[in-house]
Amino acid sequence: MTDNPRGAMFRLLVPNQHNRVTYAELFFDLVFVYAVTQISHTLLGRFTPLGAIQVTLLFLAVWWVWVYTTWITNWLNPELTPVRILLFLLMLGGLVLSTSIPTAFEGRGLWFASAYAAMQVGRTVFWLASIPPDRTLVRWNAIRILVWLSASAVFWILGGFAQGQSRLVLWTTALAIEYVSPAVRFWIPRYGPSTVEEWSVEGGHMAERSAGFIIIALGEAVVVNGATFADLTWTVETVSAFVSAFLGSIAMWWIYFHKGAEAGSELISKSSESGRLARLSYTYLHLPIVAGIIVSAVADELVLKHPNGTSDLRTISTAIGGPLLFLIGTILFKFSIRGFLQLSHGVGIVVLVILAWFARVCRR
Amino acid sequence: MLTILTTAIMIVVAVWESVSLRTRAEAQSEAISA
Repeated sequence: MTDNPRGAMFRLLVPNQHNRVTYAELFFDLVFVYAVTQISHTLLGRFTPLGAIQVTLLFLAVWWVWVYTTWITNWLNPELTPVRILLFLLMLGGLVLSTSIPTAFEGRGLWFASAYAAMQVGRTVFWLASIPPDRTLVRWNAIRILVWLSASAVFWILGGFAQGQSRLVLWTTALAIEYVSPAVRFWIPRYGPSTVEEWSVEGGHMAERSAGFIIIALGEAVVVNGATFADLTWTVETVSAFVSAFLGSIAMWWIYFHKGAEAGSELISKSSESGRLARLSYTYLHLPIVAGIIVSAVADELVLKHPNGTSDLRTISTAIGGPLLFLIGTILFKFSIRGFLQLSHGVGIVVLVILAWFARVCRR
Repeated sequence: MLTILTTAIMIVVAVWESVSLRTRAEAQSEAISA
């Protein structure tokens, strides 16, 4: 263990060998299965413009805490007991976070904010403490990230104490700080930005973890479809809606996993700038992909419960918005790895936009 | 009806991409062998 030049807590890097996703990471993901369910149910329960903004904010937080943990477990070795304990503590924080989602803008705001801030800051402190003193550049990278996360944590906690619109403004500020920070390479006064070389990741692991989150989101769509259908009377309309929703999930799986996921994994594994690719393709561009699947799951539930009521605004916006978000995410993700825009995705986006316009006109 | 349409669009996108990538790969391998 002490022979690892990267540090005792770090994964050993073997040339041309992909670091496997560990069972501890998969166990950790279970909390996020619950978080995704909470997000989709909360969106369904408060489908107003303000509610949609609030749920978007909560989703951005959930994604960010998961993806930052993925970066850390790409570097640290979850087969070691201290790292496993870190993951279990993060799971506890994730459970508090997830259970607070439906009332995060009411009574449980401080719980949500405290859990989030503790996960982000606590994990970074653990990582910083694991870095050997001689890895100066990596230590400074961790310090830079800690500075940014600590700054955002202040806004999270202040937002937790605030009420109503003030909470929304403070949490939006906190999220803006966190989402901007990788783009400016965690620039801090006097010491400047880090370099992407300091962010090098084992690409195969990053790609596999991100694909795992896509499966979590698709799992939500399948569960929602099955659970809703089970409670319904089976008629031609409900069976059609059920089959359509299932085929939609398969199409999304196919679009992401057939060639795309594999091409991404291959590229990032061989890239000399794995950190830059991990930031763009897997940290930022997976966000609309996951969001699209969750919004589609919400649409599936609405359509199954009201198979003939397609003219209501909630159904139209989720049924079209979900696939639209998904295709925007996948076209950008594939562009970042292949270097060309996939025509099929572009045409799909245009057709969905036309369909949205047409549906809006028909509603009048 | 609406979700059947969006599902159909997604299926067309998936099939179209698969076919176009296969065609592209075949064209590349032909170019290499030529």
